[in-house]
Amino acid sequence: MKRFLRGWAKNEKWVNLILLAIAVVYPLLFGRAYLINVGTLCLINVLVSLSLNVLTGYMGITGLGWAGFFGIGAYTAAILSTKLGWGFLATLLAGAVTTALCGILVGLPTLKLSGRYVAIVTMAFCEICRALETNMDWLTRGSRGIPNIPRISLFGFRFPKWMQYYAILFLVILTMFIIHRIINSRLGRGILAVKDDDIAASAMGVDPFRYKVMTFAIATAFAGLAGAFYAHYIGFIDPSNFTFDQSTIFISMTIMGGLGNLMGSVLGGISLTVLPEILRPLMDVRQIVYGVLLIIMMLVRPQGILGGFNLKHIRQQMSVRSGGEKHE
Amino acid sequence: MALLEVKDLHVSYGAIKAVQGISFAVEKGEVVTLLGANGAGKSTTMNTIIGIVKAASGEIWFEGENIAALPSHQIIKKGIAVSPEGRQVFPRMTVTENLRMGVYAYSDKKLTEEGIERAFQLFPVLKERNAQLAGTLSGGEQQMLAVARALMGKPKLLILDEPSLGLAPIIVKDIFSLIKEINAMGITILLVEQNAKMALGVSDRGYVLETGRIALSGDSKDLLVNEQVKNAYLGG
Repeated sequence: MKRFLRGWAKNEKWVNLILLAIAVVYPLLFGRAYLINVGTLCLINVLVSLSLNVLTGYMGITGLGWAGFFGIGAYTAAILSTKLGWGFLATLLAGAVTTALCGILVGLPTLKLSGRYVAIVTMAFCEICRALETNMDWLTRGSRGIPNIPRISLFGFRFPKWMQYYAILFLVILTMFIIHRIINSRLGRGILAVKDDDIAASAMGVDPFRYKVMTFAIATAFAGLAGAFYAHYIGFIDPSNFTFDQSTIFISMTIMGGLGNLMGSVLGGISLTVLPEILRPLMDVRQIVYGVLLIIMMLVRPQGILGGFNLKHIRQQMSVRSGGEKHE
Repeated sequence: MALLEVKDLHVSYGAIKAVQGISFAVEKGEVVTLLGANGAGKSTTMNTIIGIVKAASGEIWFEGENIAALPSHQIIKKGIAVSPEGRQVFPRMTVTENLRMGVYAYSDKKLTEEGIERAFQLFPVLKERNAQLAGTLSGGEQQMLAVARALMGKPKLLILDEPSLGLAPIIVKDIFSLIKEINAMGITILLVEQNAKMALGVSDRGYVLETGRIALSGDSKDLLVNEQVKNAYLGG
C-alpha cells in the first residue's frame, strides 16, 4: 500500500492525465446510449460528491441533507427555464448562486454550533425543502413535478447525448481545479486549520465562524451547479428526487470514496453509481448487498478508500528522506 | 507606559462569571507570571486579551491603545502572539505548514521565510522533522512547535498558556530555559501557569488568580517565599 501511494504521489500528473484520457475516450469506446447515460450520471454524482467533500472532508462538517441543496439547484434551473425561458448557461449559474445563498442562510444561524448539530440541521433542511417543493404548487407544481425542462443547449444548438457527457466532464474538471486551487490557497489553509482546531485557528487570527460560512457557501454552490445540470439532463424533476434517501447516497459516496481527497470523490461517485447498475439483476437483494458493502467499509476503512492520504505530504516526506540519504 | 495593561476586566460565559474585575500590567522586557489553579480564569483572561472571547466590561491597553473591542486577527497584527493551552498544533499539517499558520494574519512572504529560518535555528529538532505531520511529534516537540509558531510574526508580547501541561519534568526544564532565551531576545512574555515553582523561577513578577480575582501580586522572588503561595501551589 505504501509503495503504491509513493508511486502515485511521484507520478500524480501522469495518473491524472491517464484518468482524464480514459474519461475522454469512454464514450468513443462504449457508444451505446445506455453506457453513455450511466457515464453521465456517474459524473453528475462525482460533482455532487466533490461539493460535499469540501464541507465534510475539508471542513469536517457532515452534510446529511445534501439532496436538499442539490434540489434547490435543480428546481431553480427548472423553474427559470420553463417559466421564464432562460438559457442553459444562465440557469446553471443561477442554480449555483441561489443554492449558495440558501447555504449562507442556513449557515449563518447554525454554524456557531458544533459539527454534529449542523449535520442534524442540514438533515432537517432537506426535509423542509422537500415539503416546500411538494406544497408550493404555484411555483413547483407540487408532486406532479416539472416536466419538459429544455435539454442542454448552447446558442440554440441542442446537445446530443454524447456531448452532454462531455459538458458534465468539463464541469467536473473545472470544479476539481477550482476546489484544488481553493484548498491550496490562503483560504484553504485557514479552512484546514479550523477543521483541525478551532481555538488554535483563532489564536492564529482565523475567524472559525467566518471560514465555516464561506466553506458552506462554496460547497453548496457546487451542489447547486450539479442540481441545475441534472434538471436539464433528466428533463423532469419532482420532489421524490431530493429526499433524505438521496442525501444518504450522496454522503455515502463522499465518505466511501475518501474524505479530504478529490480523487476519493471521483471514486465514490462512480462506484456508487455503477454498483447499483451492476446489481440490477439481483433486484430486491441489491439494497441488502449495498448495505453490507457499506458496513464492511465502515469497519475496515472508516475514513474512506482514499481518505486521509495527502499526496503533497507524501512527496515532501520522500524528498526529505532522499535528501537525508545523500548527506550520509 | 506599560506594554500591556488590563484594567478591571470582567468576562462572563452566560450566567457564569469567569473573570471578575482583574487588573494587571506587563512592562516592556519583563516576564510576568499569571498563576492560578484550574478554573481560576487564566485561560479566559488569555482568550480575552487576544479577542477570542469578548469582555463584558473593562479595558485592555496594548502600547497605549484599547484593543478590547478589536477582532483577533487585528490584535495579532499589533504584535501579540499566543501559544494556546494543551499544545494546540494542527495535527494534520506538517511542521512547516504549522509554522506558516503562525503568520497567517500577516500573509507576508518575506516574514514567513525569515520566520521559518529563525524557528529552525532556535529549534533544530523542528528542522529535522519539517515534513512530518505535527500530530506525530512527541509532546515536547509539539510544545516547541507551538512556541515556534507563536514567534513567527516577531511578536512584541508572547503569551504562553500552560507550556508545561502534561510534559515530563525534564522537558519542562527545557521549555523554561527556552522562555529565558526568548526573553533575552527582547520579547516580553506573559506566562500563564499552574507550575508555580518553575514559573516564578523564570519571571520577574507574578499575579495569583483565584476564582476570577487577583488574590496576590508582587515580585516573583517574594511570591516564592509567600506562605499563601507556598500552601496553595508549592505543597507547603
